[in-house]
Amino acid sequence: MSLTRRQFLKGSGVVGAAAVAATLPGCTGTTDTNTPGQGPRYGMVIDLRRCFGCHACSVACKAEQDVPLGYFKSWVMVSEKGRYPHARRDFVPVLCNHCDQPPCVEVCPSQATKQRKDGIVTQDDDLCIGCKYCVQACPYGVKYSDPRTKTAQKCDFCLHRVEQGILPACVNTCNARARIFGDLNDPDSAISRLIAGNPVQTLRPAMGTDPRVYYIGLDQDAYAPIQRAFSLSDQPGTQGE
Amino acid sequence: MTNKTNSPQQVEQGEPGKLDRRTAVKAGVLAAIGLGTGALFRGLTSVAGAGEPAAPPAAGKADGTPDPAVGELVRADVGGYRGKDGAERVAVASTCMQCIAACGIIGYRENGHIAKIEGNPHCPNNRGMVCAKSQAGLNQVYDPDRLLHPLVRVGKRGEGKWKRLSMDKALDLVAFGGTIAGGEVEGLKSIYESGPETFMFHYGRSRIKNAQNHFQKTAFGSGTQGNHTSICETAKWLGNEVTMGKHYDVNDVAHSKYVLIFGANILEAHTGHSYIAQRLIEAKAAGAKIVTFDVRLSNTAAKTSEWVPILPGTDLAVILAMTNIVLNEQPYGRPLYDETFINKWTNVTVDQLRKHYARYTPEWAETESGIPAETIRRIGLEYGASKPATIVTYRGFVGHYNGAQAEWAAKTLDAVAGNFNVKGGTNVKFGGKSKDAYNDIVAKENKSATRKAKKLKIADGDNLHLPTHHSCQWIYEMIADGSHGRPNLYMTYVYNGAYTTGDCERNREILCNQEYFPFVVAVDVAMSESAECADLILPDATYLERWAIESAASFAMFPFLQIRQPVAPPLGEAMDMQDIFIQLAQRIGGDMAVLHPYGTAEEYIQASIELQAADNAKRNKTFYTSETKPLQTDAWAYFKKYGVLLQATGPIYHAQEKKLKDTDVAGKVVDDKTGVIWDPHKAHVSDEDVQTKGYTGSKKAYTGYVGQMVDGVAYKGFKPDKINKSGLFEIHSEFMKAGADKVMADIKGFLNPDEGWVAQHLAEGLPSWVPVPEHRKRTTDQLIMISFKVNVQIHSRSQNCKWLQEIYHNNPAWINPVTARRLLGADIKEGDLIRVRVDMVELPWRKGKGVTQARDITARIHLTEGVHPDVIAVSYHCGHWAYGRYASGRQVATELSGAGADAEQIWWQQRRAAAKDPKQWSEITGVHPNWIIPNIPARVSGQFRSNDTVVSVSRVS
Repeated sequence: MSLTRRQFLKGSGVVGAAAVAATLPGCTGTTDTNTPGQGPRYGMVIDLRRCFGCHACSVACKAEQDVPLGYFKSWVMVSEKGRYPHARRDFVPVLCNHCDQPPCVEVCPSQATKQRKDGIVTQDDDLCIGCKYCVQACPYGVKYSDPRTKTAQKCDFCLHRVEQGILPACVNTCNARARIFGDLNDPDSAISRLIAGNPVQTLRPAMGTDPRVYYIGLDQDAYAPIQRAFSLSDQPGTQGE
Repeated sequence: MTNKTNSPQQVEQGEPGKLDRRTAVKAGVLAAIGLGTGALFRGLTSVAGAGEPAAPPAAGKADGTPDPAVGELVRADVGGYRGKDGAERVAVASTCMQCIAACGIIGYRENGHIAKIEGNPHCPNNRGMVCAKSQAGLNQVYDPDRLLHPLVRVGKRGEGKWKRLSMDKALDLVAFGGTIAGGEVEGLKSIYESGPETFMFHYGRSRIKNAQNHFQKTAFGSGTQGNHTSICETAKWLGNEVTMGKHYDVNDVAHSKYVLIFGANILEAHTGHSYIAQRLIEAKAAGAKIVTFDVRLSNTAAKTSEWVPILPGTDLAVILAMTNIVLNEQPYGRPLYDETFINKWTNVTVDQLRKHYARYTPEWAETESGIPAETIRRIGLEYGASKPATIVTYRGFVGHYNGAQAEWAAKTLDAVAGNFNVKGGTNVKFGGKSKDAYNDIVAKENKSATRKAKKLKIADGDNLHLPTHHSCQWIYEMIADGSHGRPNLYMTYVYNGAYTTGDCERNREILCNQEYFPFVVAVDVAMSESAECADLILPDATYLERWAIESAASFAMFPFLQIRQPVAPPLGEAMDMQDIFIQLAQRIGGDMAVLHPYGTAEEYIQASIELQAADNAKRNKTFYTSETKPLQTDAWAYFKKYGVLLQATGPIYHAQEKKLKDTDVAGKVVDDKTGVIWDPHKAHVSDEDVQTKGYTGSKKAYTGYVGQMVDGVAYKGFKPDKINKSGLFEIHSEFMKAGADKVMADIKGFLNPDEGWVAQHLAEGLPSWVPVPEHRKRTTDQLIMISFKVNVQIHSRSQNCKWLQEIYHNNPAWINPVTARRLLGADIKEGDLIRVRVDMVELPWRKGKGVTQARDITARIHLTEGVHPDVIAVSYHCGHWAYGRYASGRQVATELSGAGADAEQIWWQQRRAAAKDPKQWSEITGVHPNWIIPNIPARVSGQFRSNDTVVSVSRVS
C-alpha cells in the first residue's frame, strides 16, 4: 500500500492546541461535516506518551477489515535516533486521518470516496472504478488498491462497529490505551477533554487537509526517514502497488 | 452509548444507499449488547450512558478506574456483533494461548468460521485488550499448511515422506503398535504391561497438566516426562523457590513508584505480556520512574525513563552493589532498608548482611558491568528511597551461568528494601484454584486401578545441583548417552525440541536416530521441525478448539479462573489432546479405561468446575462474577458465557502475615530447627523420620507444609514449593550454599588472581558474585551473543501466523556501528552478510562429554546505536526450516495436510528462495541463533544459557 518510504517520510507537523481549536469543524466553513450542535464529528487522539508500538492495532485491523497480505489500514512506524548510550526509539501509529479537507474525496470521479456528516471518510466498493486517483492523492499514503477487488480501500473508523456502539477494532485492543476515539463536537467527550488539556499535533499540517487524527507527544523526526527496528528493506507496500 | 453514535437521519445523509441494512443492523445489535455485563475490570466507569459525561481522560489506574480509551462506545463483549458485511458474529469467551500470559479472549464466530478475536473485558488481567499475537490467533486455525489428518512415515526418519491415515487407525497404531516403513513399533498397551516408564511424554506449553499427569502418571504409571521450562526461566524459578518459596513472582507495577527492570522485555514478551505492559504504562502515566537495564534498546527500554546498557551476565554485580547501598547509605537520615521485615520474616540480620555485602561497592560493580559507579549509586539510592518499588527480571537476566544466583540476589534486594508482598512491590503469585475431576473424583474412587509412577532419570541432566524444573535442553544428550535408559515410545505435545533448544543440528541428529528413539509420535498443529523427525503425527486441535481450566498469574492480585473452550469445533480430524488420552485409554482397556470415564474433554472440564462449586458450598465459599458480586447462578453456565470465575473480590497483599486458625494447626508438628508447622502424614513422612531427620531432612517434607511459627505466632508464611525450606523469606540459603563447591569447580580456572575471596563468599550461603566463566576468557575481538524476542511473535510457535510473519519474518543481527567498523571494516554497511561463529565449547567440567562442536551461521547485519558494543543480538522466532509456508517457505502438500488452499500472496517471499542450509541467512526467514548456542546447562539450575555464547564475527565475501 501506502507505507512506502517515498510516500510516508515527508515530515510532519506540530501545531499547538490553540491552532487546532481554530481549525475544528465548523470554523473553516469549507466542508459540510457536522458543527457542534448538529451531531457528532468523529476523530481520534493517539497518545504517544503511552503507545509502545505493540502492533495490536495493526493486526486487529487486518482481521476486522479483511486486509490482504502486503497492505495495512493501520500501521506503526518505528524510528530510532541518538547515539549510544543515549539512543531512543519512537512509535507513531498511522491510519486514515479522516481529514476535514480530504483530498481523496475531492479527486474521486465516481463518488465512491465520500465524507459523512460525522466526518468519517468512507469508500464504496460498488461505486469505485479502480482508477487509484485517491491512492495517489492521499498525502499520508494510507489508501491502497485491493488486488482482489481492484478497488480502493481505506480505514473507516470501523463504521460498522461504531454504528453498533462498539469501539473501532484498533481502539478496542490497544494495550496502552493510547487511542482515544470519540465525538469532537461533544465538549464532554473523553477525546475533547484530552485535546483541551494537552498540546496536540497532526501529521503534515502544511498540506491543508485538517486531519482529525491528533497526536500527543509527536516528534517530527519520528515521521521522518526510518530505520526500522527489525526489518531491513522489505516493508509491506514496496511490492507491487 | 446509543444516542451519540448515529441518528438514522445522519446515516441517511451519509450513506443513502445503505440506510435500511445499517439501521437494521444497529437495532439488532443494540439488543444483543444490552446484556448488563458491566464488568468492573474493563474500567467501565467511563462508559457513559446517553447524556452522561465521560470520565476525565486521566491516566487509568489498575482495576476498575477510568479507562481513557473508552468514551461513548463500549468494548466488544460477550453479546456478539455484526461484521463489516453485516453477518452475525457469535461470541465465545475463551482464553488465548499464543503466549503463556493466557489473556481472556472472546472469539467471534461467523457462519462457523472464526472471524475475529478480542480481549475479554470480564478478565481481571487483560481487561478487554490483547496484543498482536492474540489478534492473529485465528491464523493458527486456518494455516494452509495445518495438519488436519494423521500422517505416518513412509521413508526414512526425517526424510519427509508421509502417507495419510485415519485418526482411528493412527490411534490404533499408538495403542497397539504395528509396522511403520517396514519396521515394527511397540504400542502403549504392551508398554503399559511390560515397562511403563519407557513411555515418555515431552510437553511444551500444554496447559492440560492435570489430564496429562492423570493419563501418564496416575493411570499409565510412567513419570518419564520432559518439559520446556529451562529454555526460558528455570534459573529464575529456582531463585524464587529458595527465597520466597513459590516459583513465580508478580510485580505489582501498576502501583509502584519505582520499577527496576533487568533483562525483562515487559512491553514485548513477558510471561504476562499484555496485562503487565498495560500496568507498566499506567504506572508511567501516573509518574512512576522506570529504569531498564538491558544489553539492547528493547521497546521496553525505549519506553522507560532510563535505559542503562549493561554487559551480559553482570546484572548480578549491579544488584549486589545496590543492595550494599540500600543497607548502608542514609541520604535522608533514615535507613533505606526495612529492618522490621528483615527481623521478622528473613533468616538473617542487618549486621550479617552489611558484613557480607561490604565488598560489593559500586566501584567494584563498575569493573564487572561497565556501568559507571555513580550511575549504580544513584539508581540504588532512588530505588531504596522510593517505596513501593519492584524489581522485574526475566530471561535476559537469568539466561546465564549465574542466573539462579542473580535471581536470589534480586529477590533479596526487594526483601531488604521492604518491597515484598506489598502493594506496588514484588509479590508471590496468586492463581485461581480448581478441583480436578480426574484427581479428586476418578483417582480417589478407583484407587486400586491407579499406579505409582516410575521414571527414567533423564530430565535433570547429569551432575547438576538443583534443577527443580529440570533441564529440557539436555534430555536428548541423556537419551543418546543411554546410561539412564531410553524411551520406547516418545510422544511430543506442543513441543518443538529440535528447534527450541540449542545446537539444533545435534537435536535433529539424535531425534532422527531410531536406535535412540524407536517410536516417535508428535501431536502437533504444524509440520514442525520435531514433527518432521517423527514416525507418526497426530493432528492437534488449536487452542481455539480445545477445553481447559486456566489459572494465570493474577496481576489483579487476587485469584480467578478462566475457561478455554472451542470457539469452533476442531477442523478435519484434529483432536483435543485430552480426547486423545480418552481414546487411547479406551483402547488400552482395563484399569486405563476405568480411570478415563468421561466421554469427552468437555465432560471432564465441566465435572471439575461443578466439583469446585460443590466444594465452595461445603466450605461456605463462593465464586464471584466479574463485577465481584457473589455468583447466584449456575457456575458452569456463567463460566461458559463470561469466561471467568473470580475467587476473591479484591487485591491481597501481605499474604505471609495471615495468622493460622487453631483448626489449621491442630494435630500438626512444629519442627524445632526451622519453626515450620507441618503435617508429616500428608507428606508421607514416617514418625521415625520426623524424629531423626526432621522437616529439612525428610523427603518431600515441604508437601506437608502448613505454616511458620514467628515469635510464638503461627503464620501462613512463605509457603515452600519443590524444596524443604522454611516459611521464612530465606536470604541465607542452605540450598544455594550446598551448590557452592560445584560452582567453584566450574569457575576457579577463570577467576582473576585477586579473586581469592570468591570461594569464601560463596560458602557463606548469602547472595554472592559468580562470574560467567567463558566471558572471562573473551578477547577484544569476540562478542557475546544474546537472543531476544519481539512484540509480534512468540518464541517458536507463531510463525505459521501470516499476519505476524508479515510484520516480522527475518532477523538481522544487531551490532553497534562502532564495533562493526572495528571488527568488520570501516566500509561495513546495513544489511551486509556476516558469519557468526562459536568455537568448540570445551569447559573443564565437560571435557570429552557432550562437547558442543564449532558451528557457525550467516546473518545480515543491522547497525544500531541501540545495542551494547560488546554484544551481538539475534532474535528468536526466525530461521525455521519447517513449520509451513509462512515460517519457512516450505509448504505441506494439500493432499497430506488436508487444509484448504490459501491464495494469499506472500509478498516477502516473492522472487526469493529459501536457503539450502538452514544455518545460512535467508530473506524469507532469517536465521535461527540456536544453531550455535550450546545446550550445556547452567550447573546450579539446569538453565539453558541463551545469553552467554562467546562468538567471533567476520564478513562473508
